[in-house]
Amino acid sequence: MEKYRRIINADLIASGKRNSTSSAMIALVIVMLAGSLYASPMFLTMITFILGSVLTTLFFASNGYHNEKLFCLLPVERKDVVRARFIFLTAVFTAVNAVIYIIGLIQVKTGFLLAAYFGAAAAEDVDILQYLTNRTDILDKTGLYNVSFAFAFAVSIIVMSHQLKAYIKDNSVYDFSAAKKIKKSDIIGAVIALIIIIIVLGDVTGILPVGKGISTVVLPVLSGMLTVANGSIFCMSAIMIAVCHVTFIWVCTELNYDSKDIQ
Amino acid sequence: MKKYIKRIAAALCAGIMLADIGGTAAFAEENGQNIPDITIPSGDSLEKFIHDTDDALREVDGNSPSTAAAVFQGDEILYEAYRGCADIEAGIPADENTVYEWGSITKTLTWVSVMQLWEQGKIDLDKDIREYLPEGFFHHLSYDDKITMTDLMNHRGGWCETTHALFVDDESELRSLGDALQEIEPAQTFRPGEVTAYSNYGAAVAGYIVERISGMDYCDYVRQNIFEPLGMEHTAIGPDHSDNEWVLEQRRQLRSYKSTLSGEYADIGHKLDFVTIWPAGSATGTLKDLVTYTQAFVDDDAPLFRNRETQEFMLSGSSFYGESDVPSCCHGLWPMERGVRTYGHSGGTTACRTDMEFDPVTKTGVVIMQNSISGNYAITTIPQAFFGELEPGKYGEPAGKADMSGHYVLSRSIHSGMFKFYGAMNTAILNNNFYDLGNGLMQLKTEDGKAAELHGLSEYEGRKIMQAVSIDAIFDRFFIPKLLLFAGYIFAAVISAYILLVKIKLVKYNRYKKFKGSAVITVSEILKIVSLLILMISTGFAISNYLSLSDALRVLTGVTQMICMAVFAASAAVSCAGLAKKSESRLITLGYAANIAGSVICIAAILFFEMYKFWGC
Repeated sequence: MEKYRRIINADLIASGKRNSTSSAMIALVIVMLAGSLYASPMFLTMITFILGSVLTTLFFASNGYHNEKLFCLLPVERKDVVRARFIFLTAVFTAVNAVIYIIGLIQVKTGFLLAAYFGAAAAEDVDILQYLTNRTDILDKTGLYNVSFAFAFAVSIIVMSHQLKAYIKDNSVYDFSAAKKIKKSDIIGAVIALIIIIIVLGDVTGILPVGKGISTVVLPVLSGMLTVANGSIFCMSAIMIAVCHVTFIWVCTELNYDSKDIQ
Repeated sequence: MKKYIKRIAAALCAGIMLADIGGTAAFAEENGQNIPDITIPSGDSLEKFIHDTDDALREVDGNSPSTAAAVFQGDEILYEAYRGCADIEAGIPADENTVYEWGSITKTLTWVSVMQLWEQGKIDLDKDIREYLPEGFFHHLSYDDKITMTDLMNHRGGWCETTHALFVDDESELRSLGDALQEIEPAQTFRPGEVTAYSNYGAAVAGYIVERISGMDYCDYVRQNIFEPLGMEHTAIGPDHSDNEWVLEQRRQLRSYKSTLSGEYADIGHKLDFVTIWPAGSATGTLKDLVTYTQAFVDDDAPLFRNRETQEFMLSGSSFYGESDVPSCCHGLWPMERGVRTYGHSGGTTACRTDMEFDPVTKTGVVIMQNSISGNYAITTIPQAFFGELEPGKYGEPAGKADMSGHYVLSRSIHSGMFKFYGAMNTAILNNNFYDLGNGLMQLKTEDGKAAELHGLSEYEGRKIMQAVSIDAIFDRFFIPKLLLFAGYIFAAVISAYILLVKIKLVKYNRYKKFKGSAVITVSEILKIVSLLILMISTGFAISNYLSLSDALRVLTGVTQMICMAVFAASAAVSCAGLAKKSESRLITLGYAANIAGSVICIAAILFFEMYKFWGC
């Protein structure tokens, strides 16, 4: 763990000297936390999405040769750099979300909505949790909040891991001045999009109703997970899928980055 | 000046009154009758009901599928309306010659036929029906208990739904009734006489028994003993409508529609499908003929039977809610607790929706027919507006709330065979507004508290049941383990996909090190995904085809699942051997353990949910 700590320190120091990127990251985290006091509990899930989407970008923007510099500075292997970055960002993201979650949970449990107290414009939205809960017998307020937050957390941590992978794999991705060329990943993305279109068309025309099959098999399970233990199983499942996915992205990134040395 | 104003005002008032009368007269002329000044069962005047119904049906126009509705009292038609189109694109409006598929209202023809035979002493309603059927007719019975004709009428034969086709679009696929019943036989998942699970199969078996006892083809029997005596010349009963050429011709002109999310109607074509077990739902005819048939039930001369007592007996309860005397079924007819108790049946096919209800006390009735499979509000609101709503407290004041918490499995679902997961996962959570009226009777109030529904509370094998007219909801105490098992099956496939992707990456970067059993384990991971995919694909096809599956796809799915199970078992065995030898790598040890867990879960899920079972149900 010591070598990872050194890498993280080096990252923060290096970016701090060049520009205020890490300061901006810290400021973003603070703003998010402050915003969680201002937002209704359901709106906190939006904050999670924003954090996941922006965190990586903010930290690594305009650090074109950062990785190579680190490699020269520290006696670490290339895979250690990947691991350190993944550990650091995942830890920061999880920690900030944990705080935001707790702030929201306290408000849900106590019924004391900070946004209403601060008289925010979002206060009109403060009762959305109650509104949604009134329309379903499946989940109570806490369950609905937990499910929404878990889903948002899972999606955004997956997004964050992909962004980190994209950066480490090709650090010009955040160099907005560089012209973007079509890469293999773009082609893969296009193929996936095509498969999705085929599935949708297959359902609409009835030729290959895979989509209906997927929804018939998966939706009752999702629905069932929502109804049991106030959505706890759904929350655990969402986080488990996220962990699997992030781990997979981590392994892919490590393999790819490590192989560059050999080349 | 004042004088002139008064005169103009008087003239205006007179004009308005005349226009109103003229309007009513126009309406009356349009319908060829004056509106009788009578009070309908809901307590409103007939005129108000007609006015409200006409208003409600005003939006059913030349761009809508049709709604044909009629209301009668005795042998008098009080209201008759044809709105919308039999064919929107061709601009063919609905009229008295438009034919609609009765759907499950056909079952009442079967029940009437049975009662006619009972009246003649040819059938005992409480005898085991196997005595009326060929030896060894049933192959999937789970209980030795007798199944009676009364059980069939009450939909308490114990059969669940089947994935064999109830509708086919090619008439050459139609078989003889006996052969079709043998092919389509579902599993018996409930003890006979105890759980109400709506069963097309049970009703069709009753129709087959009518054939065997009468010595006549079912269609011939119904035509001779019901249609002809009532003068129903514009209704067919054969699955291909060939017993009435006029009906067949009219049916070919009818198109069917379904509503879309945008509120428009999508044309789904003629949907000339054929019911494979036709006593369950093949009748097709005009609104007037169905009205004639419904009127027979309120006629004191009991034209359907030799004796009026038979008609009265048919309208008496054959099953009841809990221990109460409130009937849940009346020899195949459904009692509906509205402002008054009505009797009737609804119907739905791949092309039409229908409803018939009558009150033998006031001798009134409502019949509605539509060529839209989504139906519209008319099919529920018109009977409600005519007969009124059940007042809370009519059957007593509640002693307190009934605890109906938990997950409830619907009796009318698939509880055996390769789609067993469908019945197990699609559970109902009942709301907490059930009030206990005692004697196994429960009341469910509407949100505004002004109306109620009646339900029964009973027990089946120690489990609570919420009873309704044609379906029971049975408390499932093992829902969570089942959910975890099925979710585990899905997650095993998802995690296997991730593991395979990692392996592909490792191979790509020459980092993959083979270990003992890695080939079998990799194949096992691939097959976990294949197993889930083929389940989804076959489910998709089944959902698109009214929960029925072709034999080819059924066999392919079942055999694939069997092969998958065998490979899972082999990979689990290899992993156990690998664990026993204690690998140097912790990652490989973890891999072995994960593979054993995943394989065991998948095998357990395939076995428990019978995903391999392509035969039988």
